[in-house]
Amino acid sequence: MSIAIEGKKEKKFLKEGTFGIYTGFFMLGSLVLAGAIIPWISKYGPDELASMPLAPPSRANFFGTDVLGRDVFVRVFDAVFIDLGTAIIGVAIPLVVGTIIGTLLGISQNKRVNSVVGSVIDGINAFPFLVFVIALIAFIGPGVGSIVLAISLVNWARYARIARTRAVVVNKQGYVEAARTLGFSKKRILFKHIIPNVSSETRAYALSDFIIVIIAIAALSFLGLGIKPPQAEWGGMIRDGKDLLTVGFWWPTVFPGIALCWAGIAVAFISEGLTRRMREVGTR
Amino acid sequence: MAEFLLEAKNVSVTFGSGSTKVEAVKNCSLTLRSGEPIGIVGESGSGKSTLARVLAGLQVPTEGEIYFNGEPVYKGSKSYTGEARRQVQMVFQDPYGSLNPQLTGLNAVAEAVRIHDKTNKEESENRALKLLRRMGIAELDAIKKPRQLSGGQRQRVSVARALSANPTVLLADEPTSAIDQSAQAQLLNLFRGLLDDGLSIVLVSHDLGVIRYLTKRVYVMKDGVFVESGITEEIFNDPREEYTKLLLASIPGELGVAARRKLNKI
Repeated sequence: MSIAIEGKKEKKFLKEGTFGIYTGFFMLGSLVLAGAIIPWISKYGPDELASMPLAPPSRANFFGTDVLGRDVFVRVFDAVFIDLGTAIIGVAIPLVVGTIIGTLLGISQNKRVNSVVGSVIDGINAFPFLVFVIALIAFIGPGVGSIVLAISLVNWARYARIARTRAVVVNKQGYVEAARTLGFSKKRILFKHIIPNVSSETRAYALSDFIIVIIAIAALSFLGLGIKPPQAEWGGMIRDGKDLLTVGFWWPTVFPGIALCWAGIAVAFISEGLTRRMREVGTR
Repeated sequence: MAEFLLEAKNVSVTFGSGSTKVEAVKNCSLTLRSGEPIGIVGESGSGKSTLARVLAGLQVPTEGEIYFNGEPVYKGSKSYTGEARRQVQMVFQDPYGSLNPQLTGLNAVAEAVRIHDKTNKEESENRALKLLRRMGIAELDAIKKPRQLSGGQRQRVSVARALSANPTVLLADEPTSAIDQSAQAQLLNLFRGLLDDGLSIVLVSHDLGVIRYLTKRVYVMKDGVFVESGITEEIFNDPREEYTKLLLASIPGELGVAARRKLNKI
């Protein structure tokens, strides 16, 4: 009972979802800001020998040093841009490609193309995401470029499936039919009336996918298939420190782990907040 | 100048094939003269919306031809090429799906104006506002997204958008079925005004009161076939076909009296 009243009270001050959106952006913003400033003002470079190997957290090295004596604090924040940047590109490419291909399939009348490309989409989606990405990287070799390529090659199909289903619905809506009777060009109908209403759905999925992709990138580096050392990267740092966890040297693993969780939770907050707001508005 | 503005000759529409084959429209012929309001009436699933879509150029008929000003409308998979496209516009049944949720009412109408008049943004917005005002949409409501408008307001925005092309024929597919009574009356009066301005209207509806109020001639449709057609008043007062009698007798109150009396006689 009291919860319901509290909820009502809260609504007066804050629009539904505002808390999540603000918290998420604050968390993400602080991480990005730290990623921009800390490597720049720090005494040590990310690859520089800062102290004794495996020195515990201290005033000189806030997060301690890793097995090679590099400063974990600098390395955690030096990894922000490579981790988030790769994830953003790894989401943006499949989002754009998948939305366009899916929309075209959804509105296409060509049954043969529809069934061929549809089977490709279903085939890709039938495999577990990470397993398929790892298999692809085994072919094309590790590195930032291959991560983005492999993730894009697998992930577009998920966006395409969402977009196709949505496009079939949007294509039959009155506003699209009206645009046709008004004699608008096919290009205008596609880009102004169909795609914006299809992509509202795929963009919503992109946010939750962003979390999966951040974790996938870290997982690939953890397996040694991702971003190559000595470049600081959360997954790689966790791997380098994992064997030392059991013998008391927790700091080389725990701090990059916290950073990874921080980024994931931030995006989850934004995603959840936006979903709630959309639900309140009642339309996408 | 052709005798009829819009003419459908032996139109049939079939969906699917084999066991899933559905004959939505069977061999229907219809004529519309300039400035005339006609109605297509029938129960849900009788094929009247499909026929309206055929007339609008959105559904290629399986058989038969549509003529606009004496010219065939469908050329291959294309319909209403050139100037004719502007002249036949449609208002759709569902007010919630007939406006792009991303565009304000003003933007939706101005877009259509801009493309047809080939004017700049400011001028098209002015004309759009004028059209919307005529439909009873104030400027304050025009700049709202569709989700903030009521069903009746959305439907009037749709009419404004259709009128932005300066059409000669307006096809209205159940324009009043999803909105409340007062909004219905407002929309019907708007249609009356448009008729006075010389627009031809094809009104598709299952609401016999609406049909009687607005149309001069009516086609009664059942299972994809026109069972009866003629002057609206005559059909309402003296229905010939059994189906029309049943349909009219189902109207509560005074409107259905004639049909009910006739049914009882038999």
